[in-house]
Amino acid sequence: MNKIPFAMRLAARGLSLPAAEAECLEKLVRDLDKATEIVRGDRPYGEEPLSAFRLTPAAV
Amino acid sequence: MSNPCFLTIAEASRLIRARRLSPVELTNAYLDRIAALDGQLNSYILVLREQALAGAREAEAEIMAGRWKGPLHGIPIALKDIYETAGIPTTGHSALFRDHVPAEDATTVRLLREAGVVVLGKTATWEFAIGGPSFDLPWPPARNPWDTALDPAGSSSGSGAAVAAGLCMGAMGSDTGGSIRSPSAWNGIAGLKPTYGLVSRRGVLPLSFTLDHAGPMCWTSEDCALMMQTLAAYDPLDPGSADPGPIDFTMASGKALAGLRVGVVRHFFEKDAPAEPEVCAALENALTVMREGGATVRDVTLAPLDLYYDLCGLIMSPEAYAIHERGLTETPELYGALARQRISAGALIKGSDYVNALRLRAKLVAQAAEVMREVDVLVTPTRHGPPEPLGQFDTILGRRFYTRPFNVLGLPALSVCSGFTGAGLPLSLQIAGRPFEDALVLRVGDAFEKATSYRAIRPALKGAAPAFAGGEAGPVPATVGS
Repeated sequence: MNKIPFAMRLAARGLSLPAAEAECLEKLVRDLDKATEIVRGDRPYGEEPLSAFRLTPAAV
Repeated sequence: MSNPCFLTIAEASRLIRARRLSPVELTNAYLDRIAALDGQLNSYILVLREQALAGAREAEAEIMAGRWKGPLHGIPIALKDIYETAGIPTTGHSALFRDHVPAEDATTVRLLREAGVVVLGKTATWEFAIGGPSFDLPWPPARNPWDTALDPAGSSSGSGAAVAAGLCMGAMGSDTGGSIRSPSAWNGIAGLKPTYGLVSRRGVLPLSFTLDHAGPMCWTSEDCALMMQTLAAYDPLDPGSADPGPIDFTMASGKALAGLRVGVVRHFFEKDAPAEPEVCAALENALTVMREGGATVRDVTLAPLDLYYDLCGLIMSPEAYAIHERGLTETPELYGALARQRISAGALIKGSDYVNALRLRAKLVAQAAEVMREVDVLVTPTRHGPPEPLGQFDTILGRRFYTRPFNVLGLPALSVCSGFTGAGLPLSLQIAGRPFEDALVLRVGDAFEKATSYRAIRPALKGAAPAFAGGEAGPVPATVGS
């Protein structure tokens, strides 16, 4: 879990939301923070991400 | 003829081609119905009366002159208001884009216009296809025609409500986490999220580049197939566009279920996120229909639903924030509260977490491909339950539906109506297939719809004509298994 206070994380991104919305946003971010735990950890060094980057030969 | 607004595209197309139905009269019927009834639904945020009538007159003249273009010629449709339309506002249902008037049509809009459709107007959406059913935007949220106190689901909420209510014959939606299939489920219609890359997103306001899909929403799977025959086209202007070669979307004559191998992802709706009993009963009824049609049915296992949800969030959130960073930091007041919150969350995802989510996604794609060597289609419910009250989005936001796995996997996924609750609210069935086997998915949906009587029931609106679907169809009991 992220240890940095939520308000500081938001401010660092240049975001300022009305106070009434902060609680809901914090909950959304908490869920995403929890989700990050499943993608962290050891991975094969060369495991590529799924990517839409495909080149096609130039037209002659 | 009964109310022409309740015809399917397939039915209307045959009549138009035979010159027994006038596109101008049909368009006028829809415009009159929208004027009379849409005040209850708010499904449209812009009705293009004059342009629609001009388009209908042009179609009629062409058909009368012997230049019939195909099954969509003269068919009135609607566009979710994230599809760019040349010279016509495309707002994303947001104050931020209130004055956005594109110079060009989206590729899909161009293809549909070339096929001869009549564009009736632009439909309501959750703000930028993510916000929610918001009450703090320049236009109200759409309502559910089966009960206007209920949520039509989103984000293609207006498209779903309009199709179900007979306010257009078909509509375009978009689907990043379920935004075609969820409103299809809660409005009791058919909606296809095509294979990733099969339908161009060029000119559709983006939300998440690797999860966005554009697709059709219609009363029937057959009508979705008719639209897909036009929409499935390689587009070099869409970096995600694929070119699988020609696909024949013609529906089979009642034999799609024979020999079909059906995989039920039972752990999604029984263990991972249990669906309500009526939803499960409707699914079992659908499996019986499939077996009776000659399909074999077995349970299969994919990754846990939560894993797909987590990945979808980790990918969608930063991709959406990348698009909206400037708007959210410079003019946040122009967003509604729900979109502002949901998109801002993406600002706090680390780059490495995003990349690792894409790495894990590749493994899930490979795992699903392995499972689908053993079965031809996967089935689940689309939603865990029937429509819920409009305005309870905080509750809905925390739920797990069964749509997101197929955005993560990019597989074609169709939602069809699988029956009704005792209270007459629609239930849903989701059918997913292998990459670019969209036509098979639609044929299975079509076979299911034709083996059941659920397409005969339309929602009843105050002051509306009789609420039963076209031609010969009559009323049937609004219960599961009828």
